[in-house]
Amino acid sequence: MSVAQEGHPPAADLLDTDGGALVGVEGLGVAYRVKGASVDALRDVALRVERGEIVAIVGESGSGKSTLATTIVRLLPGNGEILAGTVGFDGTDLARLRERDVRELRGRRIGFVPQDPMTSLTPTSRIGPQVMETMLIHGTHTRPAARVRAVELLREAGLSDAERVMQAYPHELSGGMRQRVLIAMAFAGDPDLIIADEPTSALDVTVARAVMDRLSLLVREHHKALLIITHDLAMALRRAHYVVVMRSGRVVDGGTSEQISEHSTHPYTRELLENSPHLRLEHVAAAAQTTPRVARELFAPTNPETLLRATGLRKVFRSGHGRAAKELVAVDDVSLAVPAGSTYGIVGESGSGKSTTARMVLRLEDATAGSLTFRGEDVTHAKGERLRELRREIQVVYQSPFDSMNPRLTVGAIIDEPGRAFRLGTARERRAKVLSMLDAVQLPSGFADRRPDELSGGQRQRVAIARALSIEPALVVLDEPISALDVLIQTQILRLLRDLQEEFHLSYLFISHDLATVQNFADYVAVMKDGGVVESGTPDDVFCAPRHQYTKDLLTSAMHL
Amino acid sequence: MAVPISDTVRPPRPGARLLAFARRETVTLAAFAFLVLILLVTVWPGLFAAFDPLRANPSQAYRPPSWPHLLGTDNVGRDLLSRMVFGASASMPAALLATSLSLVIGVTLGVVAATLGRWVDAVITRLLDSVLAIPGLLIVFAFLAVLGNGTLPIAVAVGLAGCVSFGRLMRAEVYRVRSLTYVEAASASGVRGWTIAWRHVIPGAIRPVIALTALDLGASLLTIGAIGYLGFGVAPPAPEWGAMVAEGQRHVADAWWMSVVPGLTFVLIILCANQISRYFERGNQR
Repeated sequence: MSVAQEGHPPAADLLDTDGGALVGVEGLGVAYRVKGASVDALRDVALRVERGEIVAIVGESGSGKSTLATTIVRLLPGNGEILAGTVGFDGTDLARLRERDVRELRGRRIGFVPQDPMTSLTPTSRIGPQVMETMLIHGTHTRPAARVRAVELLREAGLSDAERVMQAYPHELSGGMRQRVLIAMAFAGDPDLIIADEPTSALDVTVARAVMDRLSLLVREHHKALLIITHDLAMALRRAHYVVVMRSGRVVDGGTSEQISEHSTHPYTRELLENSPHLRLEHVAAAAQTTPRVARELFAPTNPETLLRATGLRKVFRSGHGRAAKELVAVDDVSLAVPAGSTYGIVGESGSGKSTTARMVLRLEDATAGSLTFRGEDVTHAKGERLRELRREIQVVYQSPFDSMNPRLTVGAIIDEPGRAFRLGTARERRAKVLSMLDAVQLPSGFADRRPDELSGGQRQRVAIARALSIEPALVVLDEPISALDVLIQTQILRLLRDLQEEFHLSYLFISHDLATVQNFADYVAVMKDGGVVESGTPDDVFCAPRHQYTKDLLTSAMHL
Repeated sequence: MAVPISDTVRPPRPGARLLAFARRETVTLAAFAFLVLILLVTVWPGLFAAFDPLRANPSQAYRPPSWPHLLGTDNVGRDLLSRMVFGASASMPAALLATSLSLVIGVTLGVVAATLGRWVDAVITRLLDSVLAIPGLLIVFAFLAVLGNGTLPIAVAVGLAGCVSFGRLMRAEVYRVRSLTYVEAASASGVRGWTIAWRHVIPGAIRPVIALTALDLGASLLTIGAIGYLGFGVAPPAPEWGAMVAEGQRHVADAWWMSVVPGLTFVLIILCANQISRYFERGNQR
């Protein structure tokens, strides 16, 4: 992977001696008290950030990266405790400062861009007062001056329509606009340091790129220091001068972006680098050209071996009555054909209609128009027992392994659920089936008696896959099955899905927002936007020679996030 | 959210969790202990009462709380503590029965309304709403007019009037749980509607209902007390807390304890029910 370093000012060495670093964390240890026990979250962490620098902290969930960020602004949850070390900020030690004095620094000297733009703004208040708040609290501006400055800040954050945005309520703005508002708020106190906790992970890739561009530009123009917390190593390498890799509460690797991407010898960093999904955009050699043609024929709607065929699917959501009635066309004229034993990928951003399409295929949502055939039989309006028979053949794996299983049931009961519903075999036979499914998804048989909350995200997703496959369906709808998981776990789950596909001759309908994953995993790809398919073909067709402008935009954004 | 690292958990000392729980929930434990005491008193009144609650002794009238009359005596010299103890066996069983009745009827109505939906939901919801529009005590008296007086009719009347809040809460909870992904996942797995309700929806929806049950026990007791206070219910001279408050009011200048003791008992029981209800509402994890 090559790293774009253009435009970055030369920065001082990471291991430079103390003189005048803006942030100097030394030997920091933090623990949480959980049910009477003390759990270490950070151990002996050191970090330096200079003015004008962008530093990224990269790590998986549980690495302590968010704890580090919240410790710096002294916003640790009530059960968190600083055990050792110092948090130097421009000469003072934040770890020992009184709460009242820390409050003076927050907003004024340290700005914070939170992770989730959807829940980080007060829903009952207009944007204007929320942006002005920091300036009024710290008394840096009078009310009229703060208003003028707020408009200016919103404009700088990339909201050209700033006057209107000032008057708007949060729910009237899109996710990308809200994140820009939050960036404007972080800059409102003219702080020296900005901490951004996963600033783009809740955003679509095209929006994320624009937001990151704007954030980097502002930081550079105003000579601020920026600390980015992220799980995305590729993004960190492209955006930051320095990258710090964390794992299990420790800093395991660190250096300039170039050092990390080109010369890092640390095994964990290398593993992260190798497992980040890569887009392959170079044209495939002539030898491979035959495969796309075969795939195109296989996925053609006329192929007799097609397992599932959707023709002209349309979904309209209606709300309100009479004059207030509104119509939202979520999916418009989508056709697809999934042959037995292969993977059909649908890629798109939020609101593109990809999940609604999946829900119609699952018959959880009724199509407004169009038809659905399974094994040559029309199942568009199947009801009652016929619908249950269809459910036996089509199963689903959801995005979130935390929401998709009943926390009160044991893993064994969860996997057994479909078999029990269809009364397949005796209790003893079904128990044996549960154990063999656990084995198939590479979990120890002892897990059958555990409950979901004792399992990690990756383990839960394996359980969800075991549940879906326990009644031997022909088609599994995978609705973003890996996007809630850490990078290394993603690779494992994809490998497992591929092995199981071969073993059980499964067909997959694979829904994802991640282009690289779809390219590597699917045999055929459809790109969706605004409810329609803009382009479809083999992964090489779509990604190496995109015809539609939207596909090109998506690819560019993914490459340069 | 930061997830703590698992390999560095320093295990708590044995019994530390129990101790931490006791320290955290001291008030809840105290409330629970008090309600258990009231229940014991209800079941074995003879164990707690030193005197006959009905026997008048004019020479001992208007004694303030002191030995051997710990809570004092009333205007005809009856021991107040003994009357309180035997009064519990008049009020508590009725309150328990009323709450159980509210719980069973309310939860059933709520589950049926939310599960069947359409016109069934509309009918049940309108019915519950119209009952809610009428003051509770008025409904109770309307029922009593039909059912006649006595402990059982009072319990049934209070129970029927109280099932409205259970029904509305259960219906809302069922709707909430049904929109969760795991319920949809079960449905997509091919699980039938009633199995989903029984295995997934009801267990997920029941917690706030348990909280309401504790709260409702206090409320039922108060309603039953109010009925006694207004002169219905148990006939004198049998002791009844509500009636004792009313009786004591007439002698408040000479013997304040006659109305304060039963009144304070109501307040304490309701506070305890509140505390336990709030404990269930927030869950025992903190």
